[in-house]
Amino acid sequence: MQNTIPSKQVLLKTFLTGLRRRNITNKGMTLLERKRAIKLSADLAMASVRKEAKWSNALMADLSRKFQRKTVLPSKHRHVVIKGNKVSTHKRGARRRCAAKATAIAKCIIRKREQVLRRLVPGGKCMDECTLLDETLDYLQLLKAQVDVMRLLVKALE
Amino acid sequence: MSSRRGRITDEEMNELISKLQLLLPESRRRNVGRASAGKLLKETCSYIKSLHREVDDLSDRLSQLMATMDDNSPQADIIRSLLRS
Repeated sequence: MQNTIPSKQVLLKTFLTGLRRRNITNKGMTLLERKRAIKLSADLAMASVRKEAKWSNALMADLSRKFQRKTVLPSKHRHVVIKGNKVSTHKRGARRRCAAKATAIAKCIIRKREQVLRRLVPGGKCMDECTLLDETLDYLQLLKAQVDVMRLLVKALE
Repeated sequence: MSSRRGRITDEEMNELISKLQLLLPESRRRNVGRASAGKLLKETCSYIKSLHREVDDLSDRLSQLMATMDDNSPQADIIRSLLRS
């Protein structure tokens, strides 16, 4: 997986473009409407800066389901289909090998924790264990960068 | 991002785990033992949740800041010039 951290400038620019598209300075918006628009812009910025990641495609699909507006998605993500929950059979072997060393109890704890992680990372439910960790790494980097960008903006406006 | 093909080695697995550990902030890293995948996963989940909450809080604050912003203030100028580009 490509591990280059996108520059925060790129992220900020994409975020601001999103804010502008959603007409964020419109005083006629309620606080909640504006907040939702801001969160949407944040999610879109993160996902579009990393289009090749699985979590990114899953996030885009989630967002389009939520908002059901064609203008939300840039064309690259438009034809994403969410796969079912079933992990394909040829990946089960890799999962068995990864878990081989843990004791039975440790395995159980890890599995439970992994379930939580799957819910937190977009698209996590359809990934095998190793892909999940890979995707988590990437998602975490982007989340941190997005938080930094938003902190910056708040600081500039306070 | 390359998709994983073939077997993942224990080495690759450990590498992923230590990379994950490095991404955690210092305070959370201390909670994780050296060879404890379970604790690492727990701290990672907790960290992601706190980042989600922070995005939520910051969105709230941004929304309020924009609502109460005086059109003639320097802040309004900043926002206008940022959104113009």
